[in-house]
Amino acid sequence: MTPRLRRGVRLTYDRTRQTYDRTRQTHVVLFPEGVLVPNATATAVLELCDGERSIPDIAAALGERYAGVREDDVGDVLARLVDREVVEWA
Amino acid sequence: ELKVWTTPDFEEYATM
Repeated sequence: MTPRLRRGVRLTYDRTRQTYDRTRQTHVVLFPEGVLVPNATATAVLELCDGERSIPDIAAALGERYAGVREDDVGDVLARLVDREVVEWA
Repeated sequence: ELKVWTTPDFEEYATM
């Protein structure tokens, strides 16, 4: 299974927060029912949800940027995002 | 050169 953002969902940058607090690198996920504010690692996971990479692929890619990546963490956050109808399995 | 992994999480808000 390979996760991807559902149609109508966008991962974008919150320029307002960046303007007022440059220490926060804030992304937002826009979808019809709401807004999600992911932390840095959740943002990194979402950026890799291209419908091509599997969970192990995503964890391996994150391992090039982060120390101590847990594949279970990737699967858990993706399951929550699927529940919120932000991500779907391709 | 690697950042320390933290548990992925997000805040959700009903509703540049």
